[in-house]
Amino acid sequence: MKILSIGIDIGTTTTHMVLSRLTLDSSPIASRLPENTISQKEIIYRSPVRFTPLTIDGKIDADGVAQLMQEFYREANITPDMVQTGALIITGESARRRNAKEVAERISGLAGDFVVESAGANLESALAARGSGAFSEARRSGKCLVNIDIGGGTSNVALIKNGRLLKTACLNIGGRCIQLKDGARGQVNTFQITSTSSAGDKLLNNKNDCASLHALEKTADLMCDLLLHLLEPSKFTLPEQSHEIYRALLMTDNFCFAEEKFEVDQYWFSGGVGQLMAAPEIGGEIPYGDIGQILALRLKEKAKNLSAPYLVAPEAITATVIGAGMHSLQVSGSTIEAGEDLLPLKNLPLLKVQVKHNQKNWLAREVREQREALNLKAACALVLEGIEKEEISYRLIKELAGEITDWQESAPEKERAASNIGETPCVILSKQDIAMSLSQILKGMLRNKRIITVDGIDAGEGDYVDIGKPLHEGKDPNCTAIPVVIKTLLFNI
Amino acid sequence: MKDEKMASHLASQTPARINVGRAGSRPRTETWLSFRADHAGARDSVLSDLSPEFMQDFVAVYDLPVVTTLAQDRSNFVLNPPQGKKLAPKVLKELQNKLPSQPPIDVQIVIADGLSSKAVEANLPDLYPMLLEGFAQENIAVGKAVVVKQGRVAVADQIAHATGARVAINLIGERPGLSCAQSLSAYITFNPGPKTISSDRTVVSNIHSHGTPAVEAGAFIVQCTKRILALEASGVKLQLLG
Repeated sequence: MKILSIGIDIGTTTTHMVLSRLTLDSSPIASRLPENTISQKEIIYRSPVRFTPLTIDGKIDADGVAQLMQEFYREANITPDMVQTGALIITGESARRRNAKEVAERISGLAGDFVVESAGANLESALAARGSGAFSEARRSGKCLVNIDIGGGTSNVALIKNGRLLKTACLNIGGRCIQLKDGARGQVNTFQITSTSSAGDKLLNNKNDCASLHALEKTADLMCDLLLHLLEPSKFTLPEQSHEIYRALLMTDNFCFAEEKFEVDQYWFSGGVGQLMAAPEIGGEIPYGDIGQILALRLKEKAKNLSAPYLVAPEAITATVIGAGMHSLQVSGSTIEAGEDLLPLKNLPLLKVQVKHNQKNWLAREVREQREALNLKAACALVLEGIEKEEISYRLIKELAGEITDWQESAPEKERAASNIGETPCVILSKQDIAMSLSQILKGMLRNKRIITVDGIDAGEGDYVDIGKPLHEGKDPNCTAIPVVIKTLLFNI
Repeated sequence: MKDEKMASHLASQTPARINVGRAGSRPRTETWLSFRADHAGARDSVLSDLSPEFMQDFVAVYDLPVVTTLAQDRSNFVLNPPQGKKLAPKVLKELQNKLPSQPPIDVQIVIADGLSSKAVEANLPDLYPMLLEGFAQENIAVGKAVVVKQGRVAVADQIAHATGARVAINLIGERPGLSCAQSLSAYITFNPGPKTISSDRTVVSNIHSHGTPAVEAGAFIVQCTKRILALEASGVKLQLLG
C-alpha cells in the first residue's frame, strides 16, 4: 500500500514543501502477524526554497503562505485531496510563530485530511535529525551522532545513540538573527544592518545600523562559542560575561550531557546555515541577506576543534521538511473496536503510566494524579510504559484490562465525562505487542465502550497524539494499519 | 569509530553467534559452552515428552483428552515422520467416545508436541485461555481440545474430520534452532480431512517470548479463524481472496 505524505516547513527564513510516497507493508510476511512498517520512502517532489512571507509586523503572512502552497501543488501536479498524511510545522523563532494557529487554520484546506500541525523546539530537533539522514546512519552503523540543524531562527540539536534519540536542545541562534542589506561585500567591508531579532539584539555589541565585516565576524564567533558550549560545555567554556546571554538564548533545557559518557562519534550539521558550511565561499551578494554565511564560515573553522569530526548532512537545508514529511508518521498494527467512525482523533494529550506488577488499583490513582498535575480537562490517551517483552503474559494483560476497567468505572462523573467515556473512545497505546489481546479482553470487561488500542508506537518524549483513519489493504481486516503521529507541542504555547 | 565498537553494535542486532572471537583454531571456552548449552536445549525440546508438570497443571486442569499417534514413542516419531500424522483407528474411536456428545462445532483445537514439547509448555498457558474467551465472544463454537503426543501438523485433519469441525487449529511445537527452542505455530485449516494438503493451511508462526507473545497470538488467531469461517477458505485460497 502506498500513501502520499506531505511535509511543510514554515521556517524563520524559508518555507518549503516536500511530497513523499511511503510504502507500507502490512501484509503478513512469512506467516508472521501483520507487522506494519514503512518499507520505502521516496521523495517525489521538492519545492524550491522560498522566503517565508511575512506581514509588516513580522508575523507569518497566512495568505502569502497559502499562495506559495498552491503554487507548489501546481508545480508538483498534485491536489490536496490526494495527500493522506504528513506534517505542517512552523519552526524557528517564537516571535514569528505568534499567529501559527491562524496560519495552520488558513492552510488546513490545502493540506490533506490527516496532516498534523505542530511546533516546538524538541520536535524540530528530532525531525531535523531524521530528515538530515543522521538518524538512519546512526541506526545503521551504531555510531553516536549529534545533529545540529541551524536555520534562520534557531539551532536545533539532537543526540542519537544506539539508534535512539536520547536528547534534544535548542538555542535561539540562526542566520536571521541579524539581517544585512545586500551589499557589495569585498568592496567596502561595511554592511547595513536592516533588522535584528531579539536574539540578534543581544548578540550585537552596540546597536548601530551598520557594522564592519570584522565586527560581524566577532558576533558570528560569539554565536559559534555559544553553540559549541552547548555541545561540549567542559571543552568550550564561556567567559563570565557570556553566561547571561547563553541562558537567554537557550530555549530548552540545557543539553547537559557529559561528553565522555556519550562518546560522540560524529557531528552532523544541517539547516540553511549548515548548507552554507558546505558551499564554496563566493563573493558578491550575501545569500539570504543575513549573517548566515558569515556564521557558516566561522563555524566551519571553529567546529574543527570539536572532539569528534563533523560533516555537513547530505540533506542539509531540507532536513526539517523531509523529517516532517517522511518521518513524523508511525504506523501501527492495531485493533479498533467500534471506534473507527470517531477517527481521526487529533491532539489527544498523552498520559504515560508506568505499569506496576502485582498491585491493585494503581492505574486509577495514577491517572487522577497526573490529570490533576497537568490540569487536564480534556480527553486523553493512555500510554502503557515499562512492559518488558518477556513478561507479556495472559495474566499481565488481564491485570491491565482490569485496571483500565476499574479506572473507567471508578472515576467520578466529571472525570469520566472529561476522560475516555462518551463520544471519545478509550485510547490505549503501547510500544509492546499487546494491542489485539488487550482489546479482546477489554471488550469482555468494558461494555458499551469504544476501544482503540494501538501498539508498536514509541511515544518517547511526546505530549500529544494524532490517530488517523485506518488504511486498509485488500479486504483482510487483520491487515489494517493506523497512522499515528506523536507530537511534542501544540500551537497554543 | 573503533572496529570493536562496530562489532559489538552488529552483534547486538542479532541473536546469531557473531563477533565471538577464537582461541587459536578453536572457539573460546565461553562460546563453546553457550553453543553446547543451546544445542542441548534444542535436543531436549525435540527428545522430551510433555512434562508431568504440564500434564498436571494444564492438561488436567482443562480436563483435556490425551492421545498418542502411530509413532508411539519419541525415537520412532523422529525416525518415522509419517507415523506422527495418524492415530490408530482404535485410538480415534476411543477418543470419539471420550469426547462429550456436543452440538456441531466450528473449531477443533489440537495441541501437538511436534518437534518441541517445550514450546507447547511455554506458550499454551497464555494462548489457550485467549482462544477460549475470544471464540466465546465471537460466538464461535469450540469443541474440547485434544492433546496429541508424537503428533505432526496433519494429525489435526484426522481428528477434526472425526469431530465434524469446520476448522482445525493445530497448536504445535516447531523444530528448535540454536537461538530459540520454544517456538510454537498455529496451523489453521478450513474443512480439514483426508484430502487436505499443505497449501490449504493458514499459519501463524514464531509464537514465543521473543517473537509474537502467546497472548497476542491468541487474539490474532481468533480474528483469523473468524475470517476463515466467514469466507470458507484457508491457506492459499484465503490469500487469493485478498
